[in-house]
Order: sequence, then C-alpha cells, then structure tokens
Amino acid sequence: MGMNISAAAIIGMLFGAIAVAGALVMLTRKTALGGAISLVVCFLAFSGLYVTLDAPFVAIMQVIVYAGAIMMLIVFVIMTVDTRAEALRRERTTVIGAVVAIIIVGAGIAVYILALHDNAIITRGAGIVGTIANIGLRLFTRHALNFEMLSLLLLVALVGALVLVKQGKKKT
Amino acid sequence: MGTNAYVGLSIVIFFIGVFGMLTRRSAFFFLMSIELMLNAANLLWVVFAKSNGNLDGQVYAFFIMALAAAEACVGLAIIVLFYRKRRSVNLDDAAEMGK
Repeated sequence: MGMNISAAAIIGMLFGAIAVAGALVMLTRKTALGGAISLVVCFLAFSGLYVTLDAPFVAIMQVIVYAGAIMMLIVFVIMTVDTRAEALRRERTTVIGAVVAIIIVGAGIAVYILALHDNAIITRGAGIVGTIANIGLRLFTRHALNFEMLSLLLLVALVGALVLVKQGKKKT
Repeated sequence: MGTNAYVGLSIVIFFIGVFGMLTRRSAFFFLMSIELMLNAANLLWVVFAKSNGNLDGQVYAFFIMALAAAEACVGLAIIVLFYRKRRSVNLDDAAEMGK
C-alpha cells in the first residue's frame, strides 16, 4: 500500500471522503433544509471526483445542474412548505433495516479500503479527456437523437410540473 | 485511486441513499436520497468511461443529469400538490391516500 501515490489519487481520496461524509450528514439532519445543504457539499465533492477522472465537462455540469439547479429547486420548495411539524415527528426506523444497511455500507467501505492500494486506473486504448469540445463532438454526432429526445423529455417534465401545480390550485 | 476504489465509493454512496430512502419519512429526504443514488450511478459511468478509454460513458452521465433534473421537477410538483391537499410532506400520510 502506498508505494507511489499520485497527487490525483490523494485528491480523489479526499473528495471521496467528503462525499461520503456529506451523504451521512444529510441522513442525520432533522430538518430538510439542513439535509439539502449537506447534500450540496456531497455533490460538490462529486464534481471534484469527476475532475480526477479526466471529465471536466461532467464536473462543470455537476456544479451547474446538480449543486446549482436541482438543489436550488429543492431548497425553494422546502421554503414554500411548512416542515416544522415534520421535523418534530419521530422517524420510523426498523432494527433489521438498520442492521442490513450498516452491513451493506460496511461491506462497501471495506471494498473501498481494500482497493485503495492499486492506485492507477488501467486505461484501455488512448485515454481521451472529456473536454467540452470532445463531449460536444460526440454529443451532436453519435448521440444526436438521444440529445433531441432528452430535450423533449425536459420540455414534457416542465409542462407536466406546471399542469400538476396549476390543477391543484384550481380545485382548492 | 484505482477503478476498484471508485467502485467501492459508488457502492457506499448508493447504499447510503438506499438507507435514507428506507428510513426517512419526509418526502424531501426521499427525493434527496434518490438524487444521491443517481449520483452514485453517474460516478460509475464516468469511471468506466475512463477505464475503457472512450467518452460515451461521460455523455451518458450528462444524460442522467438531465434526467435527474426532469425527475426532481415532477417529483417536487407532486410534493407541492400533496402538501396542498393534506398539509403534510410525510410519506406515511401518503400511504393512506387510496383508502
């Protein structure tokens, strides 16, 4: 273990630890807002992990879409909904569920620690860095149809959310 | 950090998400746990894109992000709708909706 650990490996371990810590803190928060803030920390750590994996475009999108747009949307809705009564309510945790979850998470952590000694990713073929130019070229040639369908999906989700919320307002 | 370490990290994050989904009763924590699990899956796409030496995995990671945005959009609309009806965001209250 640890013969010649590269800087990228150390940064990867650091961000991995922050991501796990952020996720665990999210689970233990009583209020939804506290959970959302710690989840933002977790998502930003994921962005750091993507940088260590030669994926700068995905890292940028992680910050803009996940840590920015999605979490902002969730925080926005949390603030419109009164969750004080929810925070006081007791959570229902079964013992067997907790035991199973702890075993599985423990096994995952064991895999993680055991695997830390092989400190390089074996890359098949020439490693390409996922810059915006490279991803864009791939996105608009090979995956052009997928891309168009995805924009359609986002449009449907947008209209669907609007219709859902408006419909509820009319009835009450 | 090798491929296996990233896979182990992904497993840990994914099952923290599963644990959150099974134990927390608030709809917000449910939704945030789903986001966490999607992120863990995303990490695997990027890791194997690097180990296979092509960019398709990264493109799919981007697609999953847009999918997560659509999912959060509709999911939050449903939460708002449910809150207007029942004045609650607790999933135990939602379980009794069909009765």
